[in-house]
Amino acid sequence: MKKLLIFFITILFFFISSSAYAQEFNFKKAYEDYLFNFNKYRESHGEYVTAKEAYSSYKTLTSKNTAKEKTAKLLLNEDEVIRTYLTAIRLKLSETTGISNYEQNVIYLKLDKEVTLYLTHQDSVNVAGDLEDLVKLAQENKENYKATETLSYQTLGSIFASKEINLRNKLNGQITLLKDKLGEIRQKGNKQTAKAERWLLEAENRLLKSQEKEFEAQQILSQIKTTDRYKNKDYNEAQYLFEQSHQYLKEASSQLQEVIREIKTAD
Amino acid sequence: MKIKISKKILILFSSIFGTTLIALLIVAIIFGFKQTKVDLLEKKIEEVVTPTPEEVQEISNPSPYANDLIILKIEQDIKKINKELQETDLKEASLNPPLLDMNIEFEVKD
Repeated sequence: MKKLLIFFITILFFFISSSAYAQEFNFKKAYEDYLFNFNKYRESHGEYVTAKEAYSSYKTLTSKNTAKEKTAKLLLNEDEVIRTYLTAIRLKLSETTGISNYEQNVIYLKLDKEVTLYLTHQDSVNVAGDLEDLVKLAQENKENYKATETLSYQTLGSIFASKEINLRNKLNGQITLLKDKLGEIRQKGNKQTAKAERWLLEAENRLLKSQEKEFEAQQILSQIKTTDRYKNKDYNEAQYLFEQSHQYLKEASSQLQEVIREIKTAD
Repeated sequence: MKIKISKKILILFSSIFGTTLIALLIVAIIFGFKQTKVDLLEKKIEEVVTPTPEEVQEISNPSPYANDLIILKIEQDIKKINKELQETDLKEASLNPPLLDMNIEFEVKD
């Protein structure tokens, strides 16, 4: 009896702790993790700069050892910042519902691959023999990060696209409902529908324009190359197009409100 | 050694002490009551829900569909979408890739 009770308590404990963990690890938590690691990175960067200066000036074995220690610490924190950042944007994407599961999974795979890359890099830093090895590993990270930046911008683009698609789908749903209702009113013949239908058409046009702008933005992001020096310039351009796309959605929403007003008003 | 205190002084002292105590008690009760009243009043003020001026469009000549349940539901849903549209953040500036110093190198000065 006593054993059975202990068994049940253990099961209950594991169930509660695992479900609590599953509930807790969301974008908010991942973002906090990222900020925490970014602060650690900044601190270690300061220490690295000081150690680098000391080694450059004194050239002693002690200063070299300190430089090695601080560089390793910096690289480990750098990997951790990137890893937690990628996790944060992965979770942000998972919270949006606009893009297809397939598209989402493709991005997840890419992000997971990057995360593994930085974890492996951390292992290499931990076993690095001397300062020269660490410098080589830093160069490796510099190259890796170019691809990571590209993927990050593309993921952010997918997050924005997902938001826009979700809102557009919602507006499209309302257009369908209004079309049905206007069809019903037209059949009954107790109210003119031409004006409302014109507004509805305008709203549909705005949704199309919004989609066009979103495609343009996605196009720009998909063309960012790893070797591009000013990736953020393309990203800003894409972001501007997303904003334009969003503006069209706002206009469509206003036009749907006009349709409602028109239906509610007598001829 | 015994200290003799006259009965008169004792009565005088007790009455002063007693009066002060009663006076303090009265002040405390009055102040406390006032405070409670103010608190209650403040709570009442807090409880009063300020009416949010919802954009109610007065329709002077309503159609037969002015109170149609489907239309009212669509209207409500569009308002919700509109709110979502206004609140959507398409910058997410905090999610830009972190700026990191990738130039880790050592130059030994001569």
